[in-house]
Amino acid sequence: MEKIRIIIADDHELILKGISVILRSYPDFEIVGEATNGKEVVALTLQLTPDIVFMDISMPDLSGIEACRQILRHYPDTRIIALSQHEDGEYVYQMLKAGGSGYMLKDSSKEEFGNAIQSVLAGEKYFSAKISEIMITDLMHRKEQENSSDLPPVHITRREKEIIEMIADDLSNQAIGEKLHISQRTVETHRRNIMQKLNVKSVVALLKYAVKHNLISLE
Amino acid sequence: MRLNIGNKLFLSGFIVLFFIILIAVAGDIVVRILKRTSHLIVVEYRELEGIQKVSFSLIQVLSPVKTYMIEGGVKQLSLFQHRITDVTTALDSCETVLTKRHNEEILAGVRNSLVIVDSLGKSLFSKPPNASEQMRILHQMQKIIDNSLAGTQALQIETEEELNEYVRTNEIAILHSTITIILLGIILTFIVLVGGFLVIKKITSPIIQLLDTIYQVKRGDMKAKAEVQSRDEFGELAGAFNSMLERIDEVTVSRNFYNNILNSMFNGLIVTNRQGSITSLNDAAAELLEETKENLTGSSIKDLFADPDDYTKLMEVEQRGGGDILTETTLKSHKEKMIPVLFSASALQDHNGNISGYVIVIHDATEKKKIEQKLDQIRKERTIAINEAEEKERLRIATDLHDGLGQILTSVSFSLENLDSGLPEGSSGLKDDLNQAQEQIKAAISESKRISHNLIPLALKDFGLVPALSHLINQVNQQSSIRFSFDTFNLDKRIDARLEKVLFRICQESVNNILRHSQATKAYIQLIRHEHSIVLGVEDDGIGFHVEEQEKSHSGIGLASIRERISAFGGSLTIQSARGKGTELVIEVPCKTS
Repeated sequence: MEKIRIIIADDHELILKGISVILRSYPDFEIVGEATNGKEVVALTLQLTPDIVFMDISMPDLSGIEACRQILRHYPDTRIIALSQHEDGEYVYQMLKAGGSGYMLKDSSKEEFGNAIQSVLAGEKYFSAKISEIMITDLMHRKEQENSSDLPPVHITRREKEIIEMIADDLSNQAIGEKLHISQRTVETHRRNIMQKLNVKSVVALLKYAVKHNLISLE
Repeated sequence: MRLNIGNKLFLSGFIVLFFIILIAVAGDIVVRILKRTSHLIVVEYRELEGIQKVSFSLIQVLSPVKTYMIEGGVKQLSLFQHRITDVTTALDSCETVLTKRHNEEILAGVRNSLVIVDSLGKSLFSKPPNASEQMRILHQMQKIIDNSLAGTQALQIETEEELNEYVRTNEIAILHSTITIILLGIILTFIVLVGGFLVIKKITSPIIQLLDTIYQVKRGDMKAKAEVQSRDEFGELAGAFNSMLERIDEVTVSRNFYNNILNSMFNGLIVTNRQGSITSLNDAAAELLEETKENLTGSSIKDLFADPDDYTKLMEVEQRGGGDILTETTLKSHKEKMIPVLFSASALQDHNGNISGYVIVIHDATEKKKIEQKLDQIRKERTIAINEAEEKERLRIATDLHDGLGQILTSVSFSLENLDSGLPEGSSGLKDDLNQAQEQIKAAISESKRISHNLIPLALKDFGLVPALSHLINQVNQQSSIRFSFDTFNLDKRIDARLEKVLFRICQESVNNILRHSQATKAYIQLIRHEHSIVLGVEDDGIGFHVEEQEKSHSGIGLASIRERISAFGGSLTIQSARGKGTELVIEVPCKTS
């Protein structure tokens, strides 16, 4: 049976050693190359055309994400799995956007490494357990925001609401400032914020929105 | 003896008078001469008249006789005697007038002849008219009379000759006199002219000289001196004038000295009257205000102040104390240029102690202001630099932790993993220990990540403010009961890296404050991007706090440091909070459209 050819890329020698030892314990896996920076891994990959690349995201010279992009441009079938210590959803997102097949934390266990390789070879995406958690939380958060239709799509702060009310009462900025004990400049800043947030360009549009979303009443 | 001008003039007058008298005397002499000659003429004329009378009367004698001889008549005898008497009378009067020069004998002869004629006549008249006898007597009488007539004729000629001579003499005398008088007149005129000229010169020359000296002085030559030419009043005048010049020179020297001081001053000096109208100023003041001295003199100092209120404030203080004030203010030049100055004013008192005006010294504070602004600028830059350094430090530590320590721990974990898989079956106790060690290592890795993330989320550098903040909010939401929400508006592009870091930090600190102090249930964080600025808003519904107190306290929520950092970027911070009403923080920072 053909062995699965793997290239590992990490700028830390110890990590490289560690992972390679883990992988070597699997008889089906063959480590064909090791790289310590982005440029090197791209060159190596293009040269050796492995099946799998374990890519450290934060490497000098070329980031893992960028290296991933470059490799996939030439060999789109290469499975690239991100290795990272970052648990930030953004990193995962970026990696997936670049065409990565999975995202794992470096302190994953031997089994996880094995599972990861199997999954991606089968065409699936693989994520460490923790990463999956984070991704789902993100998703939930986003969905929540989308689904809540009784709240106005844009959140208006307490202060902003007060100011909209006073604008509706036809108070000048100076008067508003005096009433709320803030400077006229701050009132102007709030006004600008409100207009930008609600994406309106005139007071009329602003008030229309406000009425529509029950921020003020028409008395 | 001091000759004064009066005396001199008097003297000149005398000389003129002398010559006038001279002419008068000459005239008198001439008149006398003429009088004499004319007198002589008169005398001769009288003589001539007398002689002619005699002649005439003699001629008349015979006519009555002739008439008697023709007509007869007694009348003729008396007439004849009349005529004889006439001759006698004429002779008498002629004798009186005849001068001794002439021949007296002639007249005596005539007299004698007359007697004879008389007697002949008488005889003629006594005889009866006998023509031949009478004719003979007549002829005798005629002869005698003719003789006499010849005599008188001779006398007459003599007299006429004398007369002519005197007339000639007279004419000559007149001629000479005229010439003399004219000559004298000319000489006198000449003398008066010359003399007058000299006198005038004598008088006007020192006056002109004095005028010249005055003109010299007027042109600026203070060392000019009038000549003291004579020892009269003019000399005195020249001398006095010279002393006056010396005095003026002295005064000018001291005035120049003071002017020199005033105009050498570096600071501007302005003197005004009580109403604030500028009466004088030095070069430095004019230069500072970019205007000529002439234009500024007479103008009101009120117009020089950029803020008219400053003037009234200053003047009030002035009038209150009469002392001095020293303050910073801004003046405005004619070209509307703003000039920051140090301004000091004192009251000017006259010798009665009344305030007659103000003395103002202005010191150009432009440099000072520039330096102040520069210091301010440096401070701002330093703050930013310090922040930068802090951030770098944090980044370094975070990176070291995350990449360095973290990696090492990870590789340890790998080693343990390998160890685990390499363990023979049955060594469960060892396996347990190993698993425990692995857990601990995982925990260590987690902890180092957490620490590093707290220092600085690497996502901030790599992906920007919005993802970093989202992540932060998500984490916080997981860890606390407070419900944080986060919105961004118009933030598609990344902004200046330093600004990102500052805003992130401020947000982080605000969130921490809310977690620690606010006891809030909800909090809302928004980032809004405007055309030229970015706004960060943090609002919570907690218990609020006393803003001023917190700002003053150093161990507080670091409001002061937040304000400092924001102001270094040119931004502004508004914080509104009150007990029980929650807190609202609005930060606006100018942001270039990158």
